[in-house]
Amino acid sequence: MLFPLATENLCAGYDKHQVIHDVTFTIPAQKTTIIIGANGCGKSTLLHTLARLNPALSGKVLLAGEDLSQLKRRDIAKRMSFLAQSSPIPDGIKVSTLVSRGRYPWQGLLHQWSHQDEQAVDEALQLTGLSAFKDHPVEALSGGQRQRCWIAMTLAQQTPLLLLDEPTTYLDLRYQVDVLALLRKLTQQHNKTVVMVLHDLNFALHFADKLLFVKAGKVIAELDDANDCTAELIEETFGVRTHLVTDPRSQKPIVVPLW
Amino acid sequence: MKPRLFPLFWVGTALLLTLALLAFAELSIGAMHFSLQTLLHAFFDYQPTVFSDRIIIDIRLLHLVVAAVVGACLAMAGQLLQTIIGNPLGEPHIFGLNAGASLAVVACSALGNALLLSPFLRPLIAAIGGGLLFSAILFAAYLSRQGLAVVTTTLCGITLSAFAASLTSLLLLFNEQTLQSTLLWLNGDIAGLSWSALYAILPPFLLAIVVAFLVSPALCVLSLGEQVAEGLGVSVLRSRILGLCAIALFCGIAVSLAGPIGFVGLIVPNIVRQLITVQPRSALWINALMGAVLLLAADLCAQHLFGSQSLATGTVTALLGAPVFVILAVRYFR
Repeated sequence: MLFPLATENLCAGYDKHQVIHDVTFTIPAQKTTIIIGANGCGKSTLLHTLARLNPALSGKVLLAGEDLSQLKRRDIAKRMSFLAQSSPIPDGIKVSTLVSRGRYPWQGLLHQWSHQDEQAVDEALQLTGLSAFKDHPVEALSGGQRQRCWIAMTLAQQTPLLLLDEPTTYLDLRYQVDVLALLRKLTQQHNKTVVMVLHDLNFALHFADKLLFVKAGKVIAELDDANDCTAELIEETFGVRTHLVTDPRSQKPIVVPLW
Repeated sequence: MKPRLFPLFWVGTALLLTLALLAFAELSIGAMHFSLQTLLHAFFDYQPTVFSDRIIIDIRLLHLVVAAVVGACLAMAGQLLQTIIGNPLGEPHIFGLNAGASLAVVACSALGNALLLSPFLRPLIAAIGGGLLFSAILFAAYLSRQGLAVVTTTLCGITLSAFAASLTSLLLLFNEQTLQSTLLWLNGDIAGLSWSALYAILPPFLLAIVVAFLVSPALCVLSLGEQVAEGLGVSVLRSRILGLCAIALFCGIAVSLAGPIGFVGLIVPNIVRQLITVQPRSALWINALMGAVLLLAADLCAQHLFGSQSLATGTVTALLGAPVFVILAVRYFR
């Protein structure tokens, strides 16, 4: 079976400092995979390496079976989009303009703005519920709407695979739920494969189809079902003793620290 | 995405018409006034022995083309510069490109090497000087705690430009011959030129336009942050270097033809961005047209506004541009 994204004995890091050690895993198609781990465990580095923002030191990242390091950056951008944790918003930029920047990889040397580009942007705006705001300046939007805006930009990129680095950071509860529900809709109704780093363990357990637990640059557990998660695993990952209870509505586990 | 207030096509047409009108004014008005008929005669039946033909083609047309090219260069450089540093106050003059280019040209004149003085090398020397000082400014600002923040880059730009300008003055002070030949030029004036100097800038001009055209969408995406840009398939370092080269070339050309002319690169890209388009490639040629229009207009004012007393073109653009800079800065920091 061909996975949209996979690693083989991947080692990665910045400069000569190795952060990720010999990691092998697969990302299932049209599912949400969530990477969790303590601060500084290397989960962001791992995500950056998956997106080729920094190169693999050894081993491979496989994009639909192809070695990522052999592909052109622009071709990668047509197949996989990446959303950074926080990005500067240019002065006075409008929502539709920001979203339209997602069309960059599809625009060739001489190619100008086309009907297809226009359509991709309209679709992305619609999916994220931003159509009514398209002429608003991004700065005037609320935090949650801004994040939707960035997600819309990656959607305009029209890639089957989306990588997101902590997409709910800096958002309050309502917008966290809002963003995660949107991402779930993308995997369930629009055939997208989503990989993200998430800090909130309970949200991760609730929204993930697959969980990767990262500790000290290694994947210590891959779970296909949140109910396989144990207090021991969480203690090993975060160094915190917890107990798990079951949410009576969703039957998913909820982590409660032992205070 | 879509044109903002005004559709692109009509803006382009209007600018072309204005350009044509200004060109006509530039050719026909002067110490001697020429009718359209005389102009047509000069164009289609040029005779070197006819006095009016000589004035029209060898002086006024040359002057016109130089003004248009310089205006276009400055506006396009301004657009690229503002995108590359993510700062609407970015301006070749403030960011040391003019000062660096002037310093390089004056230093070469002072050295007196015949090869360095050739008109074919002058735009390149100016471009290298401008590019170096600009890089130094970015580097100095980058070392500060806020990185490339608007205030630090602007202050570094102004300081290092002033430094380069005083070095230029020093060189001129010790070298009277250079002073004589460059004084008018240093005030930003498009008088005293030759067709050969204009031909000399043609290759770098075309090169800079091609580079700018290719690299401007990438620079535009880069203003969303390096990670986003890489995620969209931009090679960050390559795009930045190419962008810098295009800016340096444009400014080098402008400076070598007309001396340091300020504020065109500030005003025009801001007008285009606010009112016309934010799509980088469309913005590029609109900027070129509008830059040419603005500089022609400024040049006409410089020549004729005060009767027989003609000003340096750079003086007029500074008169126009300084208030615009203040307004933009106040708006930006409010």
